Amino acid sequence: MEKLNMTINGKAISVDVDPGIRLVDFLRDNLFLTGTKIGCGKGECGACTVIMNGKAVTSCIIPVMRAQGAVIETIEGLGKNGKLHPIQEEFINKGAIQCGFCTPGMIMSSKALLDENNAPTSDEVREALGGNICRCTGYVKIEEAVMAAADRMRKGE
Amino acid sequence: MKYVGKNIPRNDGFDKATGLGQFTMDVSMPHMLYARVLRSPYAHAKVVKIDTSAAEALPGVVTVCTFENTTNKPFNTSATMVTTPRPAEPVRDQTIFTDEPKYIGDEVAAVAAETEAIAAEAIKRIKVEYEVLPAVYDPVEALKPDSPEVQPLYGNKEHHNVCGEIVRVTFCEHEPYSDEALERGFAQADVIVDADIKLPRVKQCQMEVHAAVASYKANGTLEIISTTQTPTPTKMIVAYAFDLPESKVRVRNPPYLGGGFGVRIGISGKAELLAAALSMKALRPVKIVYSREEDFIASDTRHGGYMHARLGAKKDGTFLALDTTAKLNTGAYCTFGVELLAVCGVCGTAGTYHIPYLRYMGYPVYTNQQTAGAFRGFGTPQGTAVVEACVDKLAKVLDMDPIRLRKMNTMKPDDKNFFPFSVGSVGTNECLDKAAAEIGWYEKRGKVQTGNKRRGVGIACNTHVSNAAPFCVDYNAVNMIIEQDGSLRINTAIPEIGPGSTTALIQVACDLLGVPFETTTIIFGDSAAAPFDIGSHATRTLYSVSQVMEDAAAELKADILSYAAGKDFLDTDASALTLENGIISGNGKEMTLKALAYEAHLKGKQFLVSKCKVPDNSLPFAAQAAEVEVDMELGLVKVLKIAAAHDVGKVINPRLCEGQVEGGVLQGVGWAVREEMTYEEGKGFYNTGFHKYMLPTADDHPEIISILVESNDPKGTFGMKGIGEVGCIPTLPAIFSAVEDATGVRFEEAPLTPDRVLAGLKAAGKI
Amino acid sequence: MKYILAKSAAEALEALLAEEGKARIIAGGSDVMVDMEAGKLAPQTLVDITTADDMKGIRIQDDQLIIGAAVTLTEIARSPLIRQYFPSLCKGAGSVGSLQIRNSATLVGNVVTAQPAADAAMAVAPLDPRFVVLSKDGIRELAMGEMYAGFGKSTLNSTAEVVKEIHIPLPADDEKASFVRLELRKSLSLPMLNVAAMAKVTDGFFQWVRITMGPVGVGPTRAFEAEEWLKGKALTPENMAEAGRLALHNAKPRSNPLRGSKKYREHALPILVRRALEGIAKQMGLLHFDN
Repeated sequence: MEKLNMTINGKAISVDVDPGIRLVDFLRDNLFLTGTKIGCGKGECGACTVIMNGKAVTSCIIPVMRAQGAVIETIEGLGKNGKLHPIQEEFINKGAIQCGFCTPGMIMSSKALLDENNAPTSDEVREALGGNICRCTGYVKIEEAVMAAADRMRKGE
Repeated sequence: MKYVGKNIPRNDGFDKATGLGQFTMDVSMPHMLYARVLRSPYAHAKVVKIDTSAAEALPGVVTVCTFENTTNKPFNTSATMVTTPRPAEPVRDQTIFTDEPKYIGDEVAAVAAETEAIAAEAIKRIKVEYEVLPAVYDPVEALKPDSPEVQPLYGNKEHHNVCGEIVRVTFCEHEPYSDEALERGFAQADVIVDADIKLPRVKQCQMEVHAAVASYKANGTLEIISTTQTPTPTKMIVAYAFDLPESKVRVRNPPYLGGGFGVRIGISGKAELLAAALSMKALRPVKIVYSREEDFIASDTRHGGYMHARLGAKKDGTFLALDTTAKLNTGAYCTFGVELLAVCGVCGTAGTYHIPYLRYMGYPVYTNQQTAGAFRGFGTPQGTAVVEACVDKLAKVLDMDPIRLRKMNTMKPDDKNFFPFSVGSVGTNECLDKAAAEIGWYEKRGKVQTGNKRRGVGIACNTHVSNAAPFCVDYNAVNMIIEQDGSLRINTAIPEIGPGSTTALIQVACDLLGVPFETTTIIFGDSAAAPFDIGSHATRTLYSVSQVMEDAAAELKADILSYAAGKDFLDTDASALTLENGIISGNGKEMTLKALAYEAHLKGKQFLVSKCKVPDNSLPFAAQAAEVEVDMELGLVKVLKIAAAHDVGKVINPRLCEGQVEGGVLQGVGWAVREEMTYEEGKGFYNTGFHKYMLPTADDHPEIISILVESNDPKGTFGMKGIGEVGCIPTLPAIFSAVEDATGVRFEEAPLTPDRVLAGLKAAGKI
Repeated sequence: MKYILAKSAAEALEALLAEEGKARIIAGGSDVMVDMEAGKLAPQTLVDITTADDMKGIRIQDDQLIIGAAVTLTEIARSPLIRQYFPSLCKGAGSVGSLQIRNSATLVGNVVTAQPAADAAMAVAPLDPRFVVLSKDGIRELAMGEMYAGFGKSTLNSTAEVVKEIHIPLPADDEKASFVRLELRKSLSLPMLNVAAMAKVTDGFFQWVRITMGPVGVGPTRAFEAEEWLKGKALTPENMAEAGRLALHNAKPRSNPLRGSKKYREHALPILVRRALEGIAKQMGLLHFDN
């Protein structure tokens, strides 16, 4: 067991962890943040995407100890006091969600993009989401949702 | 209508956008164990000896199950177990574990342990001695009498390696069908064309792998939380396999599942059965989550194989006769083999066009590969692929515009046909026109080009069904319950596998009854939520459950209004009353359903109805046009755009409906140009993960335009038809047609990989 | 298992040596973590170099572009400095896996895992890079060709050696590089073939050319015969096509169940080599069509 200090969804924590596990296991099994999904375990589908120090990463290929001192955001950290984040709202409004299994990862990839660039081109959206597989939607409404959320974020929401 | 036709955001959006919605993978139970499976490394072998002692000795291992200590009662993992109508019998050719594995990945043993890591280690310690036996992989090879027999016990007795039966679909408009009559039909033809197409196995790739948590208690109850898309049939299959009373078995979703596309109509791979077998031994909850690799190599795929068709027509283009043969690879076990081959014939060849003489012969063939089963479209895509190839060829031979040829032959509402129900409304020609306009058909088709990159446009049309009735058992029940405060709760066992059916169902229910959407709830995905429900498959969920709700809502409304008409309340004639937006009114009087429901409660009455019904059926029609660009020197096909026009009868929720089209189209695109399961003899399927399987990603998809056509079907509730599966069906032939337009070559094998396209272009002397 | 977050390259080496072969380096982790999950690797200790300050950063020093071993592929793909000198390296680095992978994976990792068609490794290969390696015997520099021992096998020992950084000579104005990729899909896929090239071009003639190709051998494979032939030749479509054909003489493509048969790859490789050279011609203003 090793001591891990990190900030998770805005809250500083200090916990003992098995240094041999993956970040995704720590989030799901130790912190019970099961919103982060596992679709492949090899970084090939994006379902486990979280934001680490501002960058989208697939948490199934990140060793937990790399989170030492890091700022991690998961889907559970979005939205405040029951009010959804504009990306979450637009995913719902635009029909970007079907089975919902890729959704948390897809939203986290979108957030990492829009936090950095709230006026992305369609190519930039596609690049940001290229590592997040969705088998339900054909991606059409996901791109619409990200663009709509970007609009709102530019207006300061 | 207040809700039908509106873009109402889905009711499960909050759960899914916040990560708070639970999937099977997220489920945990007290004292739960974790399971892993030992799979056969051989395509066909006999287990000579199995020694589990080293695994059992490993600390943390609780139970090891094999064919030696687990029930060997044969069953079928697909819902056909409980949906095959008399006089046919379901093919029960599977057991939970086997001592004679028939494909690479077949289940030999499983372990339940305190942790996943221990279970994985224990699997490595099981010693198995195999005697390798001869195997066969290709359906045409397997049909030859001297090929190894895959299922000596359960295969067709007359036809070597046929599972179940050779499926025949025949129709003759003016006389009883006979093979001679069919040939008379062809004899009248001025032109006969034929086409072949070889289709690959492709994988559903639903984002959540198969998973189940089973909890068996020594008092004889079994609860399963799993990824099934048919909780009630799954309950029946599990109860059958373990000889448990169905009343003691409950199967539910938690309540969400990460997609299905047909892969878990019945058992999810074998997850429910494996978890239950281990739990019954361990008397503790057991969780099994397939790895992505296991999901790829050990659960149903789409059927690949060989399609052939010949089409006879008059020289004016009128179709006369169609004769189609399908030889599809069902794999080691039957699952949906027979039914799927039937749908291939019925919807894939007999539904889109008016054809006076028709025959289809479907061979579901056993091979030593993993099972093929249901995948969006369920056989219709395979049939459509070869029929549309014939139609294009005929257009070429007759020098007719492919759209004009199609429009003159599409099924019309009064045409005689194979279907045992009326055709209903037909929007095919409108779909053809709209797809053509959107793709720019008349400006682009047939352009002569000389550069390296060439563009082409193509089109195809199709039909399907809106449920499985009357071909298979298909019915379901709903309970509609008015809570004590007047809000509506709908209970149904049907799951929400992703399309948003539960949202659309609430829209329909609220308009049928006259209550507000905001206060209505649906309880779904639970075999204990309501009486029998066949589940989410066959494009049926919204269509079929709505039909039951029509009956239920009518009865519920009558009960409410007659109660409200009583002298304690509105004291008037019930027939003068209406219920709208939760308010009962008439004859100048009104009261809220909320008030009435509570008053009723105080008198010991609740408004509730339980209804069960076999749905009618409607044919959804569609046409899709594709535009492609081909890099000739590399054989690289890029799909630029798909214009997808779908006759959905009546749109219930436009955005959700478009979502079904768009998602289906992209699966069709993948099938046409990139997706393929490649078998390596001795190793099994190469495609063990997403980087070895080229399904489309967010930065590699064409523009998709969905066009919804409303033909107002006379049978569907509010005029609707099904949409779920239809989107993926005509995409492949439309793309093949576009590639032909661009290159001059009609390809006969999918997918259009660079290798295949280049070889085809070379063979045709195009490069 | 022990996990060490190294603060410097020297500390990383020290940690490795202290464990005597039972520790190994982890950079981005996109391969190590997958191999560990699959049970193919079971190190007692992982030494993480992403926290080593002296292994971060992209800078210019003495006519060299220096890329730290902890620099991620995203940092490379988006670096204005690299884009200025080697846009092809940005393109190659930006072609690996997916954005999430590129946010943690590194260029050195892409080389050390020694896959023959790794896009970032391919893009850097013709740029004449030098890999600065720390071991118990001190510091040494290895050329691209010295990094590969076999298919998926590096000459480096990840349990005893640390790559600190990569040095790439800055190009003169008449030196340009290119990278092309034949792909079944943009994201989450290895290429069917990839080719990179660098050339010095004077007055429309090749002075020298370096061409690397994959997967057609061990690591990025040099097309020596084509390179030699092109020397002094004009940048004409015919010459570039001929170079493509000659490139085959140094290539041994194999069949892959997904990414192309040997036959197809043999057909496509000359076209890709030609297109890579055309990419250079285009940057020199000598070609005005887009293929």
